[in-house]
Amino acid sequence: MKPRFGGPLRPVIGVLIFPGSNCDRDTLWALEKVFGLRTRVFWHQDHELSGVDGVVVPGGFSFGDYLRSGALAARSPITEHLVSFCRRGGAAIGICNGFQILTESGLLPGALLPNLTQRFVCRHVFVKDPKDGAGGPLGLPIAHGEGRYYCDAADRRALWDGGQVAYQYCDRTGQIVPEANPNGSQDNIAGIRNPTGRILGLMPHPERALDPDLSGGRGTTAGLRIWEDFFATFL
Amino acid sequence: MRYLVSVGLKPEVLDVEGRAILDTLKRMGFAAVQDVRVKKSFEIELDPAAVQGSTGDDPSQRADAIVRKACDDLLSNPTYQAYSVSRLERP
Repeated sequence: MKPRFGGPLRPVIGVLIFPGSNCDRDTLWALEKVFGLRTRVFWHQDHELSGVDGVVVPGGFSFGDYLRSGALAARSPITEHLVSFCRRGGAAIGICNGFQILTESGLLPGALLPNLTQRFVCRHVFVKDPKDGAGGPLGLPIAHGEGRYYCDAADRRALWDGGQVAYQYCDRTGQIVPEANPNGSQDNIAGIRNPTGRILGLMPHPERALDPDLSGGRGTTAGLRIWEDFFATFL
Repeated sequence: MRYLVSVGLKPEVLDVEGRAILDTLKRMGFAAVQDVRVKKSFEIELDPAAVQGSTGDDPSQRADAIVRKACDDLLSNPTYQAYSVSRLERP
């Protein structure tokens, strides 16, 4: 598959790494090999975040999920710079632990609580973009112990009124039903955006849904749609 | 100056872990147990010399304020958690 971006002036995407992040290499592979983007890696103690067109906060277990998942990473030096970058209109996607870091840093509302089942869930799920109407669901892998999205009543109203719910867990026919919800998330929410759409957080892993050879040949490439929609908000 | 901070889910948030513990207690015969909510506790020790404010300040009020700020800024996520603070007397 020909990468989407090319040429010497192709965009640069920053990837933040915290102690315990473990999806950074898959993320870099996705950005560079699948999409042809340039990348720049930032360590959590770096004191600048510059020269990037967008940022990915990858998955993993930053700080061992100590205190609360993403809580300590949200207070790392680099995250202050991420917040300034985003407040100036910069785009960022937080995947899994990255989503937790975005909520803990206040860039997205709500929080990710422990799964209702009290178990780490590692499997394929289906999600749907509420704007898709009758469109087919997207198959994506999840792997998390704290993915139960929660926010108060005011934030919940604002999310729905503002069209900020990005993805909901659904069954294979696209129905938003409790049986399709792997973690007890409010409203089956799998991902949300900020009002401008440039800050996206989701629990499923789009960087792990780009290669049909994964999962014994049953790999999903639905990650393409997630990344393309994110890139379209700023590139 | 020692403090005990207790952080738990806000009352309106479903405490699944607490519920699982309650169910197990009931199965074990603790029929009188009606509800269980799980808290996480932190023991925080402040350096009295560092707590000194301007003269006239009540140091224990300053110390309380420091501990509460630590709760507000890090230890407790106000989206879904609430906390209580108590001063521990020296043993």
